[in-house]
Amino acid sequence: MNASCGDMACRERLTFRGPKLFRQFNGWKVASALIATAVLIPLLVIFLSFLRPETDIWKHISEHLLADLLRNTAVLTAGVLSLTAIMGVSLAWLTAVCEYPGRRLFVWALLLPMAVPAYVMAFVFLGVFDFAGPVQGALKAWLPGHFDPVDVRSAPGVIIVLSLGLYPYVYLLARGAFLTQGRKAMEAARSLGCKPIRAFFRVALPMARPWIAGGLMLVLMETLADFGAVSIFNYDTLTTAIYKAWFGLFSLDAAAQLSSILVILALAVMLIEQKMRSRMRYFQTGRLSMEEHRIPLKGWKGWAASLFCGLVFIVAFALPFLRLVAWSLEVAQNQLDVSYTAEIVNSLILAAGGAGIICLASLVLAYTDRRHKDSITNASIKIATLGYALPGTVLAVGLFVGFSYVDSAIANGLGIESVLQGSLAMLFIAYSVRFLAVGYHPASSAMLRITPSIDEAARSLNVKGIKMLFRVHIPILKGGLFTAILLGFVDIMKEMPITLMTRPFGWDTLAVKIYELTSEGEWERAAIPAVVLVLCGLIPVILLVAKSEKRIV
Amino acid sequence: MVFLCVSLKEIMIRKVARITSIVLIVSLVLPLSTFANDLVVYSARKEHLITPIFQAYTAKTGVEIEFTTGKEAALVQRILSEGKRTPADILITVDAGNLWYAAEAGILKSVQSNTLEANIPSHLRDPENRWFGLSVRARTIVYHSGRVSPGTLSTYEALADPEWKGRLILRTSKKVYNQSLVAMMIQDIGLDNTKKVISGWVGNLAVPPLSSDTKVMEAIDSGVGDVGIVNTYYFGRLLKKNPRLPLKLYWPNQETTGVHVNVSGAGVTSHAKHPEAAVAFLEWVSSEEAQNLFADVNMEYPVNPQNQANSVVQAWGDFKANPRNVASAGQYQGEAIRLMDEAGYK
Amino acid sequence: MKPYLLSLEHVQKYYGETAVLKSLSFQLEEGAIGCLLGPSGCGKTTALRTIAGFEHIQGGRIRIGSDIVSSTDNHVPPENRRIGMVFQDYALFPHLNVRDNVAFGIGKKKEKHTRAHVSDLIDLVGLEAVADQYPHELSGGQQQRVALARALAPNPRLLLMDEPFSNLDVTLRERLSIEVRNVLHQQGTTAILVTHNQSEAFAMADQIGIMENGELQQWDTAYQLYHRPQNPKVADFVGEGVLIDGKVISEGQVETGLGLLEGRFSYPCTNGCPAKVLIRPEDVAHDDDSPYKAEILQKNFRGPTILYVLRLSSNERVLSIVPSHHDHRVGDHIGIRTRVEEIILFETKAAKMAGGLLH
Repeated sequence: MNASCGDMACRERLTFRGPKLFRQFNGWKVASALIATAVLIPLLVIFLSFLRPETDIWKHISEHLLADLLRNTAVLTAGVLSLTAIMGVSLAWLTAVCEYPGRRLFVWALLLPMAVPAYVMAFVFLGVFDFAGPVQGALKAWLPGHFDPVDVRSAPGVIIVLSLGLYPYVYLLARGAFLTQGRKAMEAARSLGCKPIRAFFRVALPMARPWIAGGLMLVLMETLADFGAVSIFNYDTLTTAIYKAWFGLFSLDAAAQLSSILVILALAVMLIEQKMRSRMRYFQTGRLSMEEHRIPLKGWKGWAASLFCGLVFIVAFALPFLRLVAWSLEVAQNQLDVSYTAEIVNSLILAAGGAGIICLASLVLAYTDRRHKDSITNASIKIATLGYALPGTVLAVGLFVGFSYVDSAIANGLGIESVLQGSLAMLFIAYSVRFLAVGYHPASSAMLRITPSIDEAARSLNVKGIKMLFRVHIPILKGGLFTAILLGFVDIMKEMPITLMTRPFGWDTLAVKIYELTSEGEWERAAIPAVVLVLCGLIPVILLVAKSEKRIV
Repeated sequence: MVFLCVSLKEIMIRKVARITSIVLIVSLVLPLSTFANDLVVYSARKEHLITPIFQAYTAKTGVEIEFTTGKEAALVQRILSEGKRTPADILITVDAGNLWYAAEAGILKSVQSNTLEANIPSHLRDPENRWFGLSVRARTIVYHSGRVSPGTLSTYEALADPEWKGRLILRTSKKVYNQSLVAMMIQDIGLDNTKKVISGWVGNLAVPPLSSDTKVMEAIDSGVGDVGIVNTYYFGRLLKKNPRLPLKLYWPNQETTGVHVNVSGAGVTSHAKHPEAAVAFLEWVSSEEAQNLFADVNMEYPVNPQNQANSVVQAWGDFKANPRNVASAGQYQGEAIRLMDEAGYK
Repeated sequence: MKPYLLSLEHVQKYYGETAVLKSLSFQLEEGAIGCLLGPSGCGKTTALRTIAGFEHIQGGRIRIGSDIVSSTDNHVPPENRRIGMVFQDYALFPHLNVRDNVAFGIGKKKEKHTRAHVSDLIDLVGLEAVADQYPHELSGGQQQRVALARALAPNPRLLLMDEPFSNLDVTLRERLSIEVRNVLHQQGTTAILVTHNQSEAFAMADQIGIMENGELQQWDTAYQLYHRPQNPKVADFVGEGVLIDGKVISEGQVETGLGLLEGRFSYPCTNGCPAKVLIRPEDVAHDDDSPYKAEILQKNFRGPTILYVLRLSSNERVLSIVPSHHDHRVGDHIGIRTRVEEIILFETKAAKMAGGLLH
């Protein structure tokens, strides 16, 4: 092959540059930089906190808490990553490549836990399994005098609860990878004498690595940022220390300084992942379907696969959901005002609008990345996806402080009332800052799979810029963008701290409702909005499934 | 050919521009509606606990109240960064520590109102009248009536005694209620003594601290421990759900400092757009007429001495409360947290 | 003579410090099919991409028609060059069917004459039957034709093809290259392709350029390249044949390991000068009566003929192509006779000569 054809190193230089002036002021680059700026503002607020050192608090934390916090955080992330990797990849492999009883059902059923927020999963889990829950109650009644209460609020408990809600991210992305690019390579491997299981480990798994890594990145960031589940378990992590610094010691600066550790952690992981990914290029080679080529699992193997999938579904979704429904029914009997119409409508509007904006921003970033391989673009994208690792409340306050400043500057300059503050625009910006990573990952993986010659073909046919995006990339990316919208939707539905802090008057959501009730210890009353939230969250999950069924099953 | 493509491109750009402008217009117009009200409240007290009082006030006076809820310190920060543009007239929050912090942050203004001063005992409001307690909650000892004789209980401090080894259940030290309790204790018995008490508590724990008062009581009920410290209204709620609950409240420190009480309260913001309306509202809430409406919805005690707690709450008995000004809970909150961290109280 | 449609003048292109194109110049007439032929890494694809406008140049000029499209300070973007391009991997749009792929570069799809134009092109490349299918449902040859029709649809001034047949099997490649040539001539389209495959180049192109290390060695017709290679590199690369040592005796006479060769010299040579003489397999005939004997080192049966690799008494090797009835074994000594009319020889002391020959 010629040195310059198909070689990415050279492709990077193909980018068309107009007259010199335009090289610096490219619309896409400016748009990406703007998106990054929206994320940069809260980050800046966080890092500027170091200008006001909180020596006392740091001394206290490092002497009495830090070692424990770091150990707990490390144990938690390691545990959740391992468990979600194992569950996500094995379930993805089974449903994508194997055939066994109930597979078609599990394909979508296994995605449902995504609609259950981690804090809901946590309070249901404790409601069922802790001292006063039905499980220990039954054991006590069954073995009177011999049963010692067990404390399930342990590291493994938290890890399991978080993993049950987060594995679908890995499952979703890994499954897509196995379906679209596994077959040819698997066939090659098997023609070279590999048994299916060996071919899986030697070919399919390494090939799917960027997608699995993308899913695990999301899991990692969610885990680092989680506050709800760990606080219900009273499991102290960096996040709980951040809350303690702010809400207990009243030092927003110390909280911001602690948060910067999370930002740096996320950045480090992101760089490692990118380095891993940069050495590989994956293009889609036609649409191959696994359909007629699934490996049938016969006899006990098939039933074992069904049992495994079934167990995960029951534990991660059916049980918690039924528990919520049972609580709801109990409460509904004594409580007349159980309709949450306004909250449902608000949640849906915010989730849909936010997801749309996230999708748009992801598209802009992915497209700019494709066209402009320069350091500014690269940095823009890195920064833009950092928001996912920050605890929502810290990000919310960073945004609020930062945008208030900008807002006042604008308002004072123009002599008008505030522009952003208390507006929906502000809330939507906040959502995109927080969840851009969720949309960007599927959009950019899909973008990666379009070969560069497609762009050149379009340009040689006099189709370029925005038009190329609409006529070529968006239609090809449809699947990836759809995933981006739906993931964004589900995440915004579940989102609480940013909504709580940034929403305009009258925009209470289901998640806000759940927070208000649970923070008053009203777990059962929180069940009704939780059930509704899960049901609303199911809409996009089912759409996601319908889409993937139609295209790939 | 080229011009055909150009027109197509124009259509596309126009479409994008149209969508963007709609989104912008909608989101810009919406916040304007917030300025059309008579009174704006930011509340850390939960929506279902404040809506009734707002509705009653609007019904009585016709004053329309707009409100939003949030977390305590986050609302303070929000008002801070909104600065003089803040729409908030009143900040309602729970726990004297949070009220103290709001006052310290300078977002509340001093209010001169004879009505408020008459209705609210001085230890339940800010010495400089920047905030006012509107309801009182007591944090007291709860015990299993079958396994614990009330005669063995005396004070919070005594729960550190060895006889409670493996029997004490506490909520996490990250909850502000415990921080206030310990902050007051530091002032009452001194830092060193408090430290000993906390270490004693930690040594006596049956299980690591739990995440809520309700969980504490449920754990005692299911036999994991025998005694704990909770806010009375959580006890009331659990009792309502399960009338046969074998738990009872005990009023500690009756011979000494009194039961630890705290308030939920409110203040008028420094940049309030409707300061008169705000004061009028607070005066009304502190009045005999409204006090029970505000307190009973959460089974708390009214601040106004003219009012009686509701019958369910009264049935738990009378007690002597700590007369120290609740504001000092905030002052010593940081110290309390450090002390609990050092003692390993999670 | 027809006007030149494409003209490259001293085009230079660097990747960092590495020169990929060193002063590349050639012209292509309107309606002609040109080809850049060379081994991997010779710079031919880069040359194509500079013509397309996907790459900027650092020296020289490129004209299409009367327009300068590339120079050091001017660069017309690819979409404004009115070119068509067929990619090595075809780069078909996976979300569009054949018809829509072809119609992609034409403005208003729904208009009657556009539809007719697209249908005509689909007929032209023989894809009527699969017009509504999607790229992944087509065979490689069909995809190639779609790519061609798509590139031709906007009536480009110049069609560029990057290794257009390399993904196809040999028989299909030959058939398609002739088909494509016919389509292009029928349309009067000027085209340029790059390939590493000589037979493809010979089948398709009117003018062929041999490229090596970013330099154009010769730009000529297939006949000229084969029979009048301008330097040893071209001679070596094009066709089969070997260069053996010789010494010029006088005009028309050169002494070699094959004996004294007599004939017309392609290029003037100095008497007494050592030279390299190109011997094509067809120049060496098998003749049992000949006094010149050579040992068979290898044989390659090709059906109608056999290609022998022979060792001369001078220890040099030559090729000989003979009718396949003359079947000898490896190791046999056979009689050979030369039959040259025109002698292609290059003076060996001649770095200067190679340069001199180029211009």
